[in-house]
Amino acid sequence: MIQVSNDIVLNPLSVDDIFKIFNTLNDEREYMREWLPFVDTTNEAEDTANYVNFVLQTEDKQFTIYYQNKFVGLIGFKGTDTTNNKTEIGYWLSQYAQRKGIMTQSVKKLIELAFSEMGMNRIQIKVAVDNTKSRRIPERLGFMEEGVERDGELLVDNIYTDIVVYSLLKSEFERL
Amino acid sequence: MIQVTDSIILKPLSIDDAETISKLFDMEDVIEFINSVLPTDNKQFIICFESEPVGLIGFRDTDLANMKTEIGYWLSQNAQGKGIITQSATAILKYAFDEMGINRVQIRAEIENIKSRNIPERLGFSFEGIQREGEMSPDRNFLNVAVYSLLKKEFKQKL
Repeated sequence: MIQVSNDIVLNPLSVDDIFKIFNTLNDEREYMREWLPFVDTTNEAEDTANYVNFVLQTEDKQFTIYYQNKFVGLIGFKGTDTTNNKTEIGYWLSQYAQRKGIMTQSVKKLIELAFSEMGMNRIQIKVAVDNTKSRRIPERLGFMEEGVERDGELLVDNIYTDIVVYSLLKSEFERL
Repeated sequence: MIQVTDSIILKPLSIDDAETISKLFDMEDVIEFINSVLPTDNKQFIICFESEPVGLIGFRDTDLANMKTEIGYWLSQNAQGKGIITQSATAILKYAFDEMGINRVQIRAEIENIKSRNIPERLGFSFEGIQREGEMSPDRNFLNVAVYSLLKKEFKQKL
């Protein structure tokens, strides 16, 4: 368990979280699907179970985010590459938990974890160009915009979006 | 098998190629490498020039949810300067876009590696940016990596 602030706690993902995750995605389907195309293929708890079981087998640590003891979202690492000491952070947050700084503080905590405990040198965050809310997170945390990955992600309704690639290096983090 | 030109052939990598690869690359853990790529969507091909194996070309991080992939290649020093990789990459691009249904192909090359960067530049890829400290060299220095991409619609226009 990682205490981020008085109100925010990150818990390592486990199979006990499957229903909480599925119910949130299911209840907020319309809101979530805009930037999370997998929501459209998440039709029952079993789909979430498959995802959770898959992630638990990889090196990529994931955490459930709790705000005032209520499950509000997911955050974690993806594509962790221990040969080149680099990783990526991905996240999503319930629409009812927005604008409280929950994600910025949670990402900051994972950055510390990656650089100080996992021995990472580079952290990447990738966000669809039009996802302004999500782009603010790396921008607020001092990440550098490296470029645009053209057609990097297939969104719902089979539309490709360009993705902004941000990164933060360990040397920059130490200067913060 | 893909016939690229009269003298260039791409042969799908198989476990029987372990010895060939280890001779070419001076590489340890070859069987481990072959076994790790064979069950994935990341197909690899041995490049043969005038019937001799001279290099390797293939896909990495193929992402069928987003219809994108990356091409990586390696060519023996003795086979450089003959356009072998440029022609092989063209054949691989055609395979990716036409057979695999890929929409985006990425090529990454260390920024100082001009020979390698010439390949995507010659093939009409767009330079997208620099991935800072994206790779670690054998002597444990972090290297900056140039990222290039080509989209299916751009490939079609070129033909």
